[in-house]
Amino acid sequence: MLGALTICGLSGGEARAHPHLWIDAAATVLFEKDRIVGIRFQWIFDEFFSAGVIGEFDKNKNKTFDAEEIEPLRVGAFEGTKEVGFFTDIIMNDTEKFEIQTTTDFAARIEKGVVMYDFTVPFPAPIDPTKLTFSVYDMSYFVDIGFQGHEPIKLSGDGSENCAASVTEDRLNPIYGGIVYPKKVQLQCPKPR
Amino acid sequence: MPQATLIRGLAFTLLMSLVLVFASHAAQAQNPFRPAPSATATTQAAPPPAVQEDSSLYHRALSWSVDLQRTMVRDIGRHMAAIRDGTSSTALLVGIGFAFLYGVVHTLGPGHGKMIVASYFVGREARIWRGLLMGIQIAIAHVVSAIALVFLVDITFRQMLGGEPAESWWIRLFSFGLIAIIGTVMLIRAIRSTMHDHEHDHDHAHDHGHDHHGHSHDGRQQGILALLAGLVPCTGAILIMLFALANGIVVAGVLMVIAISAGMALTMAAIGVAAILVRRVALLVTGEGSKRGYIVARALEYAAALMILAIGLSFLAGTLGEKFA
Repeated sequence: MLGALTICGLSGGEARAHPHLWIDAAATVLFEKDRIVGIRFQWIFDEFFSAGVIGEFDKNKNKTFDAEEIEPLRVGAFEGTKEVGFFTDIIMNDTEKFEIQTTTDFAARIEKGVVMYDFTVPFPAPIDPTKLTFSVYDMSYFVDIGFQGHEPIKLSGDGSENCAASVTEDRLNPIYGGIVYPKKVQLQCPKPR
Repeated sequence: MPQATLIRGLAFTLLMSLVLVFASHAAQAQNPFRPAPSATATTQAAPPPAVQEDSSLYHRALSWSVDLQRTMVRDIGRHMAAIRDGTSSTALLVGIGFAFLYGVVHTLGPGHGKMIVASYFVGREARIWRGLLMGIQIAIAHVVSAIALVFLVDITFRQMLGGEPAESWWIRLFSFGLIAIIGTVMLIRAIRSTMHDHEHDHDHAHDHGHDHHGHSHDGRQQGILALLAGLVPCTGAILIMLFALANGIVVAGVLMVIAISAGMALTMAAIGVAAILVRRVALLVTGEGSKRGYIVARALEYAAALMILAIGLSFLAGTLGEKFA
């Protein structure tokens, strides 16, 4: 019993942080000529964080992010996440970790009081779809981000029809004291039967 | 009297929190969404070294609790948005229901004072009602703390895009530090009473399970521990209060925080009572009054003190690590 107590106590100690905001992530893998040229991500925030962002960046309180409100929002409440690699791990050609330097086509909108971001991560060169793995997570678990929603992964573009995406738990790389497994995406081409 | 002590303790702790709140405006919470203020911001390291897959029951239960909390927070959020927009007449009731369940599940999940409660009651002779009382004490501390914290830091916090007020770092430091101190005090008491017993002949049958220092002392210690365990408000409670305050639905927010705390009280009380019963069974099996029973009682007392000390120190280290790592 004492042993059990100790184990519980230590696990509790490791996992001391709680998530403070929640993001349902989705991704569209962008194909050109059978190869992947980038990924367009979507982040859907929880109501609490959304309320904070809307309060701060919807200056004219019209419940939409107008063109002139987007740039301050991008700088103030998106670019900061570059420090943590936009919560995204991209592994190319099986082992090369791709450091995201830039994102393009940032968009933000409010839908039913919930904030959504869309942005594209362009790849430096097109890659073989079967040699791509990517996952989203926040190491510190301040942010609970994952491919949570219905059909979170989509494939689009020339050649995408030949491939299928699978989302699995990355059980080798748990976070949050081993409690949470990030969701890992891999592509199979041709599609498995 | 425990009640008077609790009130005094609450007043003292609130005062301390106030001091800490005002002393700590420079402090920053770790929110990756804030434009990086300095080079000390945490960076996403490479994935951690592969760990052995661990699917123990305990891990799976924690994992389940994390998943459940995720959906509950979203449900609470949706219902609070509905309350704000006036789109649903049942939103408040349903929201309160989710808040209560969140309180239950959140308390079962990682962290929080449940290990403190369990250790505390495993280590000492206590009546069942004390376990129930401690759950309620923690819940009251939690409600007061969550509401007070949000009201106090509202102005600075609204700029912060959600997340945890920086001030809570100081509250955690204070709370975990005191928990470590209480663990130390318990350890010293355990050592003292062992020595005291050794001066006497402990083969004759006086009740070793009994606390030599009397029940008022016990009550005070329990009150302070409960206060400390409840003092660090859970994220859910903070988010709810902030959302409520920002959207002019304060009463709904307070009701939901009370519901969370009631859920928390239920879980904590159950854990406290379970610990009391586990101890009783352990002593019954080993034979109370016997030498073996005496050894078990003493061992439990030491284990409880060490456990509370370890929890305090490990959380203290984690809190310090956030800032200085």
